[in-house]
Amino acid sequence: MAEAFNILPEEKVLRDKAFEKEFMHLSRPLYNFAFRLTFDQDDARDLVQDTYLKAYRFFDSFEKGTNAKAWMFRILKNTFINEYRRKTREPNKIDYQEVESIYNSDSVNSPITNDLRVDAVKDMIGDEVANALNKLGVDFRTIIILCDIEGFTYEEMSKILNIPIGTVRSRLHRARHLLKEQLLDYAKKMGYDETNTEKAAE
Amino acid sequence: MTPLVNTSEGYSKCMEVIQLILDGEAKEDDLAYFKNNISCCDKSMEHYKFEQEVRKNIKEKLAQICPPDNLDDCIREKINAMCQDQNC
Repeated sequence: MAEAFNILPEEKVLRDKAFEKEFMHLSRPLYNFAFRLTFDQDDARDLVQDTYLKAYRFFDSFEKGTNAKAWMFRILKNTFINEYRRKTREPNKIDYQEVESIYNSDSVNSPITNDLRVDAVKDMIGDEVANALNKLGVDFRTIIILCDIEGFTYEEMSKILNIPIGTVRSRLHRARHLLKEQLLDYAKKMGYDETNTEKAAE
Repeated sequence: MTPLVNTSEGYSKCMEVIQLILDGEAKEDDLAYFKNNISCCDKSMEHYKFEQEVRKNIKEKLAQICPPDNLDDCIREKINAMCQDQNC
């Protein structure tokens, strides 16, 4: 990628204008994504700033008219993986390899909805949903954020994460199953266990 | 009629199609499968409504976290500082 330096002042003014228009309105969703990856406000701010610096340096590589949001999310995700992942203070999370081995088995294809009802999910507060999401490994957490919060398509996620669309689908499927397991744990603590569900249905 | 989701294979297919529909990625044959097999099965529709609710909750309850007020200004300052360092 070509770096955006050694340009004339008048060119810089035009570049800054174009950069501002394309990318600056994205700082809020980028910060939200960064915070959900790092769990720390300072790290999230630094990660977003580093993302913008990289985007500026390589602005010439961005094809005008293409998806600016997906481009920025991809830079942020790569920066996180390369520079932040090791120092991130993640809460207790499920080990990716362990999860992969479990969910390559048939258990991902067994219904969980029977034990976790719509009412229980509706009654959960934001913190409980956030905690359930935070307990997922970073790859599963990322794909749920990109799809359900940011609304990216499978194709866009495939480009952001640099994985085939088929992997996007299967990873989403696994991530959602894991999330539901976490939500079920909370639901049980709240008293929405199977016994109560059966009673409610009577 | 035995509910579709009562078998592992049926559940797997049902969840796959539900995911595609709720993610806005369903193709014509997925939509036909939904119409012919899921929409007419109470148990399958229960799964559909549940999945819909989970997505709605994630979107609504994981509200955007407010960035620091001066984030955009800090970004601009850092870009300008980087440019000065590089003499651009």
